[in-house]
Amino acid sequence: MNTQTHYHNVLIIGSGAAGMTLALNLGPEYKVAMLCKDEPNEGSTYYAQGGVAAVLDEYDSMDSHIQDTLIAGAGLCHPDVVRYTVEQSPAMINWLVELGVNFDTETQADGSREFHLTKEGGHSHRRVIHAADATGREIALTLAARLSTHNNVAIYQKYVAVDLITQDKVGQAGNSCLGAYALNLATGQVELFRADFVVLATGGASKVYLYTSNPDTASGDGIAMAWRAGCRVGNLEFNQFHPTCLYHPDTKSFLISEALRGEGAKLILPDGTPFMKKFDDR
Amino acid sequence: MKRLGCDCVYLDISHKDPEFVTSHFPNIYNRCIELGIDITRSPIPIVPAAHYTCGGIVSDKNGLTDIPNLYAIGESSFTGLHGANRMASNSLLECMVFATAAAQHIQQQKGTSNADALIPPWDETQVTNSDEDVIISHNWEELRRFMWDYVGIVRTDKRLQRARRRVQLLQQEVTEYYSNYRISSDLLELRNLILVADLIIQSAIRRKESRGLHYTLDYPELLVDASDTILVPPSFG
Repeated sequence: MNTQTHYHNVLIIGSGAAGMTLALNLGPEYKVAMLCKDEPNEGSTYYAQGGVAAVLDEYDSMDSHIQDTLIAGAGLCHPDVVRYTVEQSPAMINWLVELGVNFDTETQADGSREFHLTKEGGHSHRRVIHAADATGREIALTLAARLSTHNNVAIYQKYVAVDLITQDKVGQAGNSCLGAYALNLATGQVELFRADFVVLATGGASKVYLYTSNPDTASGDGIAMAWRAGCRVGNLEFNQFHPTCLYHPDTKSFLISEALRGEGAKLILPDGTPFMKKFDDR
Repeated sequence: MKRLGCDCVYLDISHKDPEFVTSHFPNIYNRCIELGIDITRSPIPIVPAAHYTCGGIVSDKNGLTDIPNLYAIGESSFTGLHGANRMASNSLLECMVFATAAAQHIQQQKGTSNADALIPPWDETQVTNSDEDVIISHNWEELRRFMWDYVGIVRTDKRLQRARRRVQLLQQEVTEYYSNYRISSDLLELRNLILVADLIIQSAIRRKESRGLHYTLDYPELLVDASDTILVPPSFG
């Protein structure tokens, strides 16, 4: 049987905030393919409850956001990368607002409306712009709606990437990436996606653990494919565990935002006694 | 929880004004109501759960990886932003910043075309349909259970070595399965999960200190010099 073959300028594997933002920033002359394993909104972005950290308040500063990030990172952040990222935060928020993302606002003393900023763990200022407790959904739906007007982007739903194709893997000199093989779940056939550039925007790998707050798609596909293709990986021992995920026999993967504790919720044992005081006075 | 042997603990916000709770956390409120829990009146049963992968594919400020024309952005990447612990809400910012940079970088590389690259078709003449799918569901559950027990929040050398032996065995089985049988979505995910689990374990074994999210009873102290754990694949360079 012949392998069905596609050719695009850019192949994006993954359809979360990263993949969609990249697609939206490519000019209309670029033919783009976006692969998603499931429905386009089954990635972690859609389920993100908190928000986006950005320096927006007049009393906040780039240096403060940088400093907080460095402290949380416990000596392993790359300071130049932290500065580079934080300094672009206002521009990124402007871009999202221009696209139509509805972040929560509040009325100021002078009657004007300004964005409501929450304060989350580790931040020394109110800095997190949000849309109630479903910021990821608001961002994901807005980006997806905008993307649907970009005729240069073809979305391939229910395609699971199998492996990257590099020059040396197919017996050519060099190791540039040439595309990827992907399994079409509707037909059960593997198809060939040839591309000038390939982007892995496949999310994390929290599904290696029994309990995870992540949707089912977080199986580390991009990390595994990149490793097999010859990419180095870094700092994979640092896996963040969320302390408060709903425990219920009829549901899985539902996060209870840390903002609840930020607003005064208490951790208690089955018999009703509070226990965090035993470990940490904060 | 391990110490007390209880299935879960509780998070209680019922002392707050119900109107405040429903207006600030409508999503959580509604989801819990569907499950019969009114969070304005009773505590919420909770467990800790894996939430974010701080490490990932080594990539630069443009999202470019070690392989020409291959980019990695968002949670799959390792840019150096998060260090040993991600700060809340920096991850969506990272998605936006590196996606924007990668799009610009791609558009600066004029003249790259693989339109005519010779790529062999997918070959499945050597494989058959599997009649042993139970191996996938079994290995899937086994992996996620031992990762939780041995490579979770509190680690030791012994637990990590035990996990390493098990993951190597699973890797052999799945590699053999992958080369003999027609692929499925579950098999592809399992193959990737096992590989990433192995990389997580190898990285954890190398870190002889407790820093950020990595806590081990065998090395509770912080080393003076902080350094990244970089793993290099056999096919690197």
